[in-house]
Amino acid sequence: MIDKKLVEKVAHLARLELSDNEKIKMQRELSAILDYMALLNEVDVSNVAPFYANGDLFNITRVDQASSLDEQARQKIIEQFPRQDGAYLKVKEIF
Amino acid sequence: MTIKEIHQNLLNKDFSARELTEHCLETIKKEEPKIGAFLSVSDNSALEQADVVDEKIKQGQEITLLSGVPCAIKDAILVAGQKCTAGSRILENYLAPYDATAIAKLKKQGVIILGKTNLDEFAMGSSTEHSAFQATRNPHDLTRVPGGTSGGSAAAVAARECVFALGSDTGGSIRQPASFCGVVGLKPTYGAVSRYGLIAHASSLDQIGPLTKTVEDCQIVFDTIKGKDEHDATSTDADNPSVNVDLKNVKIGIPKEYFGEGLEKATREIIESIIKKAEKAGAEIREISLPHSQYALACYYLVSTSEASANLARFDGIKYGLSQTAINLAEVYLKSRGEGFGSEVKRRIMLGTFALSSGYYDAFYAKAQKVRTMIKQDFDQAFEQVDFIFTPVSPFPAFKIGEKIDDPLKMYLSDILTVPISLAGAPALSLPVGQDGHLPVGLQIISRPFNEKGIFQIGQKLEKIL
Repeated sequence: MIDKKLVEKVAHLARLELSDNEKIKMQRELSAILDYMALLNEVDVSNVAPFYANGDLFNITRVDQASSLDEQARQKIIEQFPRQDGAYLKVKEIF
Repeated sequence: MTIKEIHQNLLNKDFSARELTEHCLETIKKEEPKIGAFLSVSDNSALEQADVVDEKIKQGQEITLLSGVPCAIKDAILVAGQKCTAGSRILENYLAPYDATAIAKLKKQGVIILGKTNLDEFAMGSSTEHSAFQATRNPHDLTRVPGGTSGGSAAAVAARECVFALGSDTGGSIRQPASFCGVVGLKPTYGAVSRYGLIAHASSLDQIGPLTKTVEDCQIVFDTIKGKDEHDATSTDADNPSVNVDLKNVKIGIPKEYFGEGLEKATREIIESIIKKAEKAGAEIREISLPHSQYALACYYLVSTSEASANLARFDGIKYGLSQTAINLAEVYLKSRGEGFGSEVKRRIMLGTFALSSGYYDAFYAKAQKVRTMIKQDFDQAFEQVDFIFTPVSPFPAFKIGEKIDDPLKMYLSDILTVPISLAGAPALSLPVGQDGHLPVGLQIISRPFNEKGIFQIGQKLEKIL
């Protein structure tokens, strides 16, 4: 069911770089796991609604407004940017 | 010593919080070369926290029950200013900018945080062997795993390196290591404890909970960390009214599906003997059926990996954590993630991405979500007939280090008795009730959502008749 091409497609969707060895292993392991998942084919779910949430949680909302962050926490976040320019996070150009 | 005993000793000035903390730090120094429960120990800040408590006592100020009690925290829960690695290379040098809500609540009570404990990378595994940093050994048998993913927390409590620990449970990650290490572990009802500051694995399943030596301690810690938090929209204050539960007035369901093939004989005998004792004490024992439990493992590994694949998309080498240099943005993602994640995490991201991908979504993710509804309904119906459900936590006691590491499916199967409860969102406690040779065996006490109080009452009664 899982061939190398599918492994490569999924790895690309997941933005994961896999070595050739990893791809071979992944193909074998995912196939075995998905074979086990086929167990779910036995269950008739034709009149069942998908699970939504436990309890009576439904559309919990809050006011859409910016909240300020403790200055110490803010500094710790900025310090950990891999690349920065002052207090700005620097990223590679997209194109 | 229990939390209440420590509290009394501190008040009586039998020992100081500093002396108690130093004692734990010495135990850690002595035990860690064998056990490997901790990823980091913060001696200085622990002693500073202890001095604050001692000063309060000296001045005659009132102290709370948890003041001066030393604990350990799973390294997936943020403690401000300390490293939080989630057991992963991708967060090897990450410093937590703030406290998780559960931590803030504990700190407010004056607990002493000794350090951060080992776990399977991003809380994915069942043995703590998937940590990127070290293996943790079971204090009852150093050739065996402590269970996982909160294996460091369970081992630290069992080895008496701390009084209690916090762990997190997505599919059994508190209960199974508690069972393997012979300690008490609670997975609270989904929503009972805020997930704010817990590094997300599968958001519809994750819960923070305590690992302790006794049920009473477990209740004290749970009561401290529970409750609604504005930072976690799924947290609630729901609490069942206090009813006095005694073994004499409860109905206990025994689901036949949890005692089938694959359950080891010794584990079965230990669990059956505790059920007999409960019956002798007056409980009504009923055989029940949770017919869709056999599909729970397949359902769980589709739902949890799908959620994990989305949650772990944030580790992209851009905002924090490991960042590989590359020629363009796409390469930064690919290389940082390819380098930073370990094999189990990659496997789960792949499985989840596959289950959510176009063409496979209906057959896998959507199907699993419907099966989840049926599993939940099984539990709802069961709790119309009974107050509690008893099952083993694991089909077998702690296994050998290395025994399952090369076979992911075999590793997944060790969660078979804990994942159904997670999918249903119900609370469950692992209570040590016996030993198979020298290896502890845990009983799983399950109840209806938000009936933790009832679970604690039954657990304490059982502790007395073991």
